[in-house]
Amino acid sequence: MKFHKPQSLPDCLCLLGKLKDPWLLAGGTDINIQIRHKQGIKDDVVLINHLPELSGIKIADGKLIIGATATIKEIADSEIIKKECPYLSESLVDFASPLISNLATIAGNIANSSPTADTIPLLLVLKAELVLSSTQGYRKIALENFYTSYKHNVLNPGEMISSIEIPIMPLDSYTSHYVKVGSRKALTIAKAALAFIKTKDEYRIAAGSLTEYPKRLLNVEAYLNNNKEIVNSKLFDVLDEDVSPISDFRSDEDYRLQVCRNHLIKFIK
Amino acid sequence: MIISFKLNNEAVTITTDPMRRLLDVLREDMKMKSVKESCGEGECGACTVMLGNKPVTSCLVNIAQVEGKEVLTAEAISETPIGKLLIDCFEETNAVQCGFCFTGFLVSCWHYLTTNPVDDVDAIKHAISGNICRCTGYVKIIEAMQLACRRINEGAIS
Repeated sequence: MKFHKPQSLPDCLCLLGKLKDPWLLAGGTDINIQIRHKQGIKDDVVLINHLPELSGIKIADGKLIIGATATIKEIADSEIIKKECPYLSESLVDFASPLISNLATIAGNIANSSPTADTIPLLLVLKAELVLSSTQGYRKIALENFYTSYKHNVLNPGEMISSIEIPIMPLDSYTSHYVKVGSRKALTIAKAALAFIKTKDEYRIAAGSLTEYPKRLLNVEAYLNNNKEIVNSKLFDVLDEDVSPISDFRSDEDYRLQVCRNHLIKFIK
Repeated sequence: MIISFKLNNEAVTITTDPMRRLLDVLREDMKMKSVKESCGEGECGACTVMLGNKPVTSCLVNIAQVEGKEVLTAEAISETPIGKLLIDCFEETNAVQCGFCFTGFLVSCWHYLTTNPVDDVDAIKHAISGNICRCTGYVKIIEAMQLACRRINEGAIS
């Protein structure tokens, strides 16, 4: 395993253009464990958490711009986020533990592409966009189009997430709720997670741990947006089209589905 | 690779494999034995240290990530006024039993007391939620922290 420490973001992108599928090391909360257990070892590791271009949280053009290497704790504690999007800061308080959220980065949580990633359902309902950079320049992609299948995403070789953009919504224009169900309150991996936003015009609902990658529940949203009288049995039928919970060592299919139904009903009432 | 950082307020420079864990460098090279390994996956908090003013699990940190930063371990924290007060409070409430987790708790608790020492059970529970203790059931640890908060707020530390 070869270690690289680029001096700047252009240096880093140049390096990514040359190396074959390297690891990008920012917080290290996933990669350092894989290195320790010699799981899926790659030939190259590129350190990025020292690059100032990738850090920080700011506002530009009516959007929150969150640097790729902003840690979960930095986001939860950010005065800008607390003011413009308290839904995000409040929902991230129980991410892992304070010891881990001081290290773990937002782009790491996204790029790791886990079905249980805690930040993704929230970012989906907030209509986040990712800025993907390479030596060719950059492109923007909506987070809901980022994943292609279980643990896979649209990042091309030589490309990296450089920032996350969230459109700022007036606080009085929506209501929101986030629920993460795990075996315990702290330091747990979600059995099911749901993020909800309701505006004047629409419902936005996204789920984690209930699909092969976190997704918006588009059929549920359409049903809620188009029907004034909600019939629970019909709602559950469309929910079945959107989620595909699995049984594994963490939980079972029936439980995950029931939890999802219960919280859905709770939110729409 | 040459890596320089501050360890317990002293500048250190080492030449080592950049992929080693901060935990291993602290224990093996620096002989900081307060930093313990238990789970090795960030779950238990036995290896907690301060990294750049924030408590982290040092088993998840790669030494290359530490370049230019400040590291504080329980060795230095236990010599500070708040560290000493914390140790007294843990003793008085019998909050230490086997002691294996204690140095990790000391770091998390010290961070809480030095940033916002509010006598609030929920906030204290959140602050120590990354540290596991298998002896006490936490009740005595929370009592120790509440006692420390009260003493600080009564002016025990000048």
